[in-house]
Amino acid sequence: MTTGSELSPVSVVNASSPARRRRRRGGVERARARAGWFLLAPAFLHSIVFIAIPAVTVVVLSFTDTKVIGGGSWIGLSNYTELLDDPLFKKAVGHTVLYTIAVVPVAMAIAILVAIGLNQNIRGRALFRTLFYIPVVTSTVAVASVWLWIYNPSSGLGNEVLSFLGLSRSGWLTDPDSALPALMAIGIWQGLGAKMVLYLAALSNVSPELVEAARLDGANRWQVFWNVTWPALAPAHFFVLVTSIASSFQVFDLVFVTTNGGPANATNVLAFDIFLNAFQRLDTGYAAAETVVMLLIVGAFVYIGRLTQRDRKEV
Amino acid sequence: MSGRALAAVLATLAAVTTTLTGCSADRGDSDTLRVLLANFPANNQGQAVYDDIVDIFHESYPDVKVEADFVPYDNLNAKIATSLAAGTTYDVISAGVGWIQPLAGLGAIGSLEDDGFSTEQLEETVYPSFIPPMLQDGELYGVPIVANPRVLAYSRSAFEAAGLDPDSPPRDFDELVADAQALTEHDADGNITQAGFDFWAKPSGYRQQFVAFLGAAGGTLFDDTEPRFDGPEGERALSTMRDLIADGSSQYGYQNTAQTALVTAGQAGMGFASPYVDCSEGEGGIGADKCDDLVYFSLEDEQSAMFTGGRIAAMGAQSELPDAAAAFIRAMQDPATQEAISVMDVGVPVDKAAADSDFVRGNPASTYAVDHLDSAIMEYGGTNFLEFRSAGGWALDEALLGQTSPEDALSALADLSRTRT
Repeated sequence: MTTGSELSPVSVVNASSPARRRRRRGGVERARARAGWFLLAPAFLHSIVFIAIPAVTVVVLSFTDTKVIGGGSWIGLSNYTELLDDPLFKKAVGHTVLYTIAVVPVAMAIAILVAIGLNQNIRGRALFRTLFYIPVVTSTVAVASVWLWIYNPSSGLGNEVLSFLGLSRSGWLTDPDSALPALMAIGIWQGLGAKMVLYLAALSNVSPELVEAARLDGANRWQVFWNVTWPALAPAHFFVLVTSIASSFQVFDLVFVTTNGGPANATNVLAFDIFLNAFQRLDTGYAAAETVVMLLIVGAFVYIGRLTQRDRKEV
Repeated sequence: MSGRALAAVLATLAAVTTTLTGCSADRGDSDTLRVLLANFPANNQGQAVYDDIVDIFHESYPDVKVEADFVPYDNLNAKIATSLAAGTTYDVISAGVGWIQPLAGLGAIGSLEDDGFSTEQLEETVYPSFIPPMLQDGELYGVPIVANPRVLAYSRSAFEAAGLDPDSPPRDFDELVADAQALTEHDADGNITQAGFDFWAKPSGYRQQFVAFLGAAGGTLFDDTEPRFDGPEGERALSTMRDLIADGSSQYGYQNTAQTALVTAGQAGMGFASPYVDCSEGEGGIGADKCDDLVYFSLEDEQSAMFTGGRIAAMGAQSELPDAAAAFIRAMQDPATQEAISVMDVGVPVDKAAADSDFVRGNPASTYAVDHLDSAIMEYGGTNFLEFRSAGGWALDEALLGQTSPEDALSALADLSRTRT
């Protein structure tokens, strides 16, 4: 005889099977979770040590008058109000925005054209892809040195080409009117390869069935591109746009090597101005405030980019 | 996330943070002297000069190890800033003349007066113009090692060809502009084949040249921390520089491929040059004939002035080895070291005793430079120097390129120096 609390072996087996399965499943899930956290830990640590802590530190520093040594004093929004009256900062913001507006769309448009071209079955396709990608893996200092020679007003290739075409010679990097456009040209050329690779990857994911169906429906090449290929590239557009905006705002090494922000402040961009304030004037708090403003501007650009993608989806 | 996983992550975080903190706070071996040497080239020449200094130092401190960082001037502040932020300070810093007051103001370097150095002692050994930049609030914070003057030179044959008297260098700014115009030569297409005057400056690099013109006009850069360059002397100096560019006598930012002075290379009739000229016929030399053709002179207007930069040595404020640091600074002051650094820096020894040395007298440019160190004009300005150094090139550009008037450009730069200090 058994009591109500006692179970027969059969009833125990019947009653415990689902529970055991749940326990087993729960154990596997916990093990997976542990493995996940274990694998995530290096990236997590990296993000905390090299991104989160410095980011918080920069925000805190931006409210102080820290000058390299010592903690500095809390000065509230003084650095930010000073930035509003700083002509060098305003110019740096203007140059950076101008650089971004010029470089990002032009580079994206050229990259799409190049990617579409190199997505066709043409002879030497692999070679051309490599050639377009080489500037990406070349050191900016080496790239800048070559372009300094091209832009040399007296003996550079740039002026030789202009002379050959019967055009007047340019001062290139020594002329305030042409220095920033000259740097933009380098920026477009240097970033082309990375964008091209992303677009090539996106193009390879365009459904051949959809393309075929559109053609069967009588769509011409342009209609196939605009109604099938272009929408399929939307995720790539967004990724390229965001990374391009971020890298345009970070342009520093090119300016540092070629112009040092000159002539007449014509190529001083935000990242270079932050460097000057932090490491030439040793005004850490002020440079931190500039950094925060730069992050906000980049964030605004990215948000606008997202809005354009949202509109596209709704359409 | 389970509690154990969270605990594991936090423990790892704590371990990493502790390790990183420990690394950054480590001052290193207490018997190691850390030295920051600006503009020492990271090549065999720089290493050889450094080794010789260490050998002299080891005669007094044989057991103290020396660790050196060689950095370009453009990265000097970044190096100092990051080392200070990381808590690893330098025992000795060798930098440019203008750095002493800003670094002293920041507390990065300390007074030398408790370590056997004195202003009176310095006054006996070096040229008087080198004393004020070494002082902060009346105390000695650094000692000069080498002077880097920028002399002016003209080509005797170019003067003759232009119908100018080769024995009469320009005596004021008006004569300088007129002579430069006369010396300028063009080809059939209007391209300049011989510049009338060469500033020997890259774009945004006219700061030191402005200091030279300012000095000749009778002005000074700063009075303590107060900018004085925006007065009438500064306007006259910058207007003259602008005129030389505007009338085509000088090409803004132009440098030859070797980045040598155009007057020395035979590409300009007159201009700034280095205090050393290689008169040999071999590679890098300009030959005896060209050497004989060059005449050295100083800028003149209200007074005679020769821009002079220079290398200094100072002691880190937090040095735990002040005696050893002082000995290293003395090793840098050694006459043999001064001569070796002069070769490396293309400068001249700062000791008055070296004025008659073979090293100085063996070269016409260095002979002229040393003979005129009394009229040296230097670029420094209290704690404001970093502001002037940072934004000065751009501000001057705006006037030189006609984007704004010299008065407005200098006024804006002076305002920047005042408000950002």
